[in-house]
Amino acid sequence: MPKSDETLVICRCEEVTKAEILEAIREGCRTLDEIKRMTRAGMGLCQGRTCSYLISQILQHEGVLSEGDATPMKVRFPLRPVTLEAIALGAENVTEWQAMNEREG
Amino acid sequence: MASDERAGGIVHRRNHDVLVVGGGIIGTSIAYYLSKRRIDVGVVEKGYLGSGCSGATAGLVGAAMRTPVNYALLAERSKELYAELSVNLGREIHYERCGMIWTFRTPATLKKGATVIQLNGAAGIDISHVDRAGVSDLEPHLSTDTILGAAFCPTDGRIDPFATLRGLAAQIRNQGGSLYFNTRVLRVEPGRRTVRLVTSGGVFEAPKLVIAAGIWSPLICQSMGIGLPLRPVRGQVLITQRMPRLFTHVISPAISQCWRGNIILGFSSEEVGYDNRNTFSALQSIAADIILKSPELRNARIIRSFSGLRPMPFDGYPLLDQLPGHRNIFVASTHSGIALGQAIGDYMAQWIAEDKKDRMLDDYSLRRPSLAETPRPYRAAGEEGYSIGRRGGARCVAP
Repeated sequence: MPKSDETLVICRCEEVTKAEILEAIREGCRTLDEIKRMTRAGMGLCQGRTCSYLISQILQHEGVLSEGDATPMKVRFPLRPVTLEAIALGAENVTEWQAMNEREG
Repeated sequence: MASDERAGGIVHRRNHDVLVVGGGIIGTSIAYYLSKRRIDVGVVEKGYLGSGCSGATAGLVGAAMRTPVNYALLAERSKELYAELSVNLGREIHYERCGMIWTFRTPATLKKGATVIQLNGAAGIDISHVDRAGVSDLEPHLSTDTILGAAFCPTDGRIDPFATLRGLAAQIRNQGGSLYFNTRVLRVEPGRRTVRLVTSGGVFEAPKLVIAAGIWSPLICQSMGIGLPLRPVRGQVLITQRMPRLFTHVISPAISQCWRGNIILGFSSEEVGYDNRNTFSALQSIAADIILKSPELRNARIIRSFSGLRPMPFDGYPLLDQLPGHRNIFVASTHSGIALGQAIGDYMAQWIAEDKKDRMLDDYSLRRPSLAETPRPYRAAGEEGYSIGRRGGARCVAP
């Protein structure tokens, strides 16, 4: 019987509940990056900004981590959503790129 | 009894019938099919489930356009097994047979494509030629201006790689196997009857060993004085926020809108060693290329980039064999692990468990001559670095 707070949504972007995170921890996940991959928490628009701290608190509460031990989720470009067009500005070698794609398929 | 162990110090660990090094798609698939055959299997992984290339992929499952024909048929077998996998695992892996399109934009690629279509079609693979209008019908949001023709396979598609890995791991445990994470192999001590695996989490022993460690397989083999002809080839990827359904099919190599609605865009092919960083140069090129292919994506918001290091054998084909001089040590490493994984898993498990080597594995011997040739290098996608200051790319995003 799930406890009453297990329906709490921890990751708002991907709508991942506390129950799903606990399940991932039961299956062996010990880090934020693992929980992210197994539950999708942290894969949404805010890329873990909202849920990371909550998930680390759950990990501590479950006895998996000591306080302050959670390794943050790996950060990659972009730090905030940017349009494809903004990224494309400055691309110099598209024809070379297309040739590579055509060759490698 | 299943147990995932994390420990420091060198202790003697539980023995298994077969040890598998590597917790990616190949390692877990082999372990799954071994445990299905009631073999006590232990998977040893230096990171976490799918922390290598299997966790940095678009999840494509395709057979068409692979050459030679046997290679395409290996992928077809994998598709068959994927079709049963959700039911067998009791978990949704989101296997979609959404179809795959390959566009040809030069006379040379069109001609080459026609040859492959003909060869694969003759072998019973469901692939056909589609003209420019046909591409537009299939994918209205693709710009067809520069398309001369295309190939289409209605049964190729994609999976959710993380859901699949998770389901495989759970079923390995259900079937009596174990997975050991954060457990790095320090050295392999081969033996005719018993292989000893010295790891950061203790010593394991088993009569048989499988090395399915992707780009790390060569290093493990090196510790036994054996060279493995495989090196990493980086693929960089962009991913959009979740968007309304624009694309139904996978457009090779580059556009795949997954079941959640995020569109995966890519990819590069670069030989940069064991460097899985992203570079502005590659991401800019991907972005510009995608805008040319689908101009309305220019305003799509990118939420993440990622990068995977494909295990690339020297001749581009899987390495599925016993190690020379070691009948009880197997290697199974390749790129396209997601696509080929179930077939490789089942055939290798059959070989390891029942000593029956299926003919489908014949082409992937370590002794094949093509592995001795010097591989054609993949160039890095331009220089690393922040290049927004250089204006040369403005022409690439003309409206």
